[in-house]
Amino acid sequence: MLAFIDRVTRIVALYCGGVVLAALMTVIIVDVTGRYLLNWPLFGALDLSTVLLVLVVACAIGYGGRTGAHVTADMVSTLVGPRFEFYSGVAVKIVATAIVSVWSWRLFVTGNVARRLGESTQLLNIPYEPVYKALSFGVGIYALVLAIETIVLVRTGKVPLLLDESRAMRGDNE
Amino acid sequence: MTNTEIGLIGLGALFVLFVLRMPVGLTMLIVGVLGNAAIAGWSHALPSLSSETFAIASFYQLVVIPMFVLMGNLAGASGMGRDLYNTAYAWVGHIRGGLASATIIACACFASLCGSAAASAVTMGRVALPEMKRFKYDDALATGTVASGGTLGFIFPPSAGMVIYAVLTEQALGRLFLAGVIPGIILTLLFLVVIRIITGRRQEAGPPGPRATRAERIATLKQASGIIIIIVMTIGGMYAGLFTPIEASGFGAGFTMVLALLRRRLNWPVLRAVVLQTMRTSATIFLILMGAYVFIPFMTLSQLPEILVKFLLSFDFNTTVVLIIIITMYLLLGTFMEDFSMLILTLPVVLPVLKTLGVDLIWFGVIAVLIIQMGILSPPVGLAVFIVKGIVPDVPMYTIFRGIWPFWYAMGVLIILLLIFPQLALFLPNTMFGN
Repeated sequence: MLAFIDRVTRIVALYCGGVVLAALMTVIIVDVTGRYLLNWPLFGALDLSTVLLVLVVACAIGYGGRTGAHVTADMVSTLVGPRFEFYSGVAVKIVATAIVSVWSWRLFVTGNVARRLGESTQLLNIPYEPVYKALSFGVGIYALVLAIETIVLVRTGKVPLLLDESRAMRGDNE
Repeated sequence: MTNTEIGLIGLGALFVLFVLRMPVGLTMLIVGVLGNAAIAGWSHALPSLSSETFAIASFYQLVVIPMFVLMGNLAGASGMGRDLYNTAYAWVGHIRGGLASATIIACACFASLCGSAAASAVTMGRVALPEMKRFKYDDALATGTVASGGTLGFIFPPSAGMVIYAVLTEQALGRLFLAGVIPGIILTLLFLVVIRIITGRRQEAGPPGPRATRAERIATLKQASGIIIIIVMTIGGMYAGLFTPIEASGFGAGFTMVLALLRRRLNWPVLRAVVLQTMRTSATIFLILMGAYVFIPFMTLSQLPEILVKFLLSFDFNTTVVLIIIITMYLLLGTFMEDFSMLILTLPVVLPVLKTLGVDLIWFGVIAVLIIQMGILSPPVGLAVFIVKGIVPDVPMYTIFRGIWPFWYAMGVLIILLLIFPQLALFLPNTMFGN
C-alpha cells in the first residue's frame, strides 16, 4: 500500500509539479521580457500565475505528507514512552485523515458552487471550478496518504517516510 | 459559553495537538474550523475552510515561494555554493580563522540565492566542514560557523520567513526584503568579528590555510561571476525598481537554470532532486499558511487578541518595554517551536499589540526573522544544529551548541542595535519607496 501511494505522490510531484513549475517560471520570464524589451507584457500573466500557483500547491501537498515535510512542534517527544507514542500516533493520523478528507470534499463542493456562479479569473476568464477541483484532488491525495499511513501504523507499529533524492539533497537525518 | 472562553479552549486544544505531534498546519486547520463552528456555526466554518485555503493557494504574492525555492535549490544542486565558497576561500582563507570567515562570506552570498536556512547550511556544510576538518579547525568553531552562517539565508532577501511575515501582516514584500539587506550585512560582519575574537584567543581553533595566488583568486572570481550577476540582478533589480519580488523570483530561477545548464551541471538526477525538493518545501510552507488562514479568523472571532491588547495597555508600559516582552517571549518560544509555526501562531495576537503601539511593521519584520534565526540555533530543537549534526555525525551535539553560542550573542547584539537605530532596517526601503 505504501509503495502505491509513494509512487502516486512522487509522480504527481515530479512530473505534474515539474511541468507546472516550468510553466510558472516561463510565464514570469515572458511577461518581464515582453514588458522591458517589446513593451508588450504577457496578457493575463497574473491569471496564469495564480492558477499555476494553485496547481503547484495541489501537486506538492501529498508528497509533502509522505516525506515528512509537514512540520510538527516536537515539544515532548523525548518524554513519552513508545506505547503512548503509538496510540497518540494512531489517534493523530485518524483525526488528520478525517479533517483532510472534509477539507478535500469542501474544496470540491466550492468548485461546484464556482461553476454554478460562473466564477472565473478576471482577464483570461479561466473558470475557477477545475482549479478548485485540482486543489481538492491534491488535498485528497494527502488524505489518502494519511489513511494508508494509519493502516500501516496499526498493522506494523511504524510508518517509514518516503526517502528519496529530495532528502538526499537536504542531507538531514529526520 | 462566551467567545473568549471558546478561544481559550481552542488555544488549549492547539497545545494538546502540538504535544501529540499533529502537523502544525493541520492543527491550526482543525482548531480553526472547530472554533469557527463553535462561534459562528457550521454554515460559516465549512465554507471558510475551502475559501480561506484556496485564497492562500491562489495568492499572487506567494508565487515567490516556489520560484525562490527553485532558484535556491538549482543554485545548491548545481554546485554554485561550492563556487562561492572557493572564491571566498581564495581571498580570505590564508588569514587566521580564514576558512570559517570564507564560510560566513559564502553563506551571506548564497543567502541571496536561497531563502532557506536549511538549504544554506546543507550546501555550505558539505563544502566547508571537510575543509575545516582538514586544516584541524576546532569542531565547535567549524560547526558553529556553518550552522550560524546557514541562518543568514533567513535575513537576506529572498527570505522565506519574510515572505510569510509579509503575507500575514499585509506588508509590502519589496520593502521588507530591502529592510533585511543592511542588518544582514551587519550580521555578517558581526559573525566575522566573532571568528576573529575566537581565533585571537585560541589560535589553534582556526589556523590559517594556504595563500592563494593572484591568478587563482581571479580564476575563482570568474567562476563565481555568474552567481554574482544573479544576486545583483535579483536584489539590485528589486532595489532599482526594475523588478517586483515576483518578477525577480521567476527571472532569478530562470537565469540560475540557464547558468546551471551552460555549466553542464544540470543532469536528470539533479533536476529530479531539485523539483522534488522544491515541491517538498512548498508543501511545508503552504500547509502552514493555509492552516493559519483558517485559524486567524477564529482568533479574531474569539476577541482574544483585543483582550490581550487591552491587558497590555492597562499596565501603561512604554513601547520599548512591550517590545522587550514580545522579543523575550519569541526567544523562549523559539527554543521549542519550529521557525514558521512560531511566527504564524503568534502574529494574530502580537500584531494588534504592535499596531496599537504604532510600531513600524517593516522594522519589526526584520526583528521577527532575526529571532526566528536565533530559534533555529537554540537548543533543544535548533533545526540548523540537526542539519550540521547530519553532515558530521561524529561531532557531539554539545560541541555544536558550544560553537553556536558566540554567534547567537552576535544576533542579540544586532537586535539591540536595531532597537536603538531602527534606521538600519528602514533606510533602504524608505529611500527606495519613500516613507
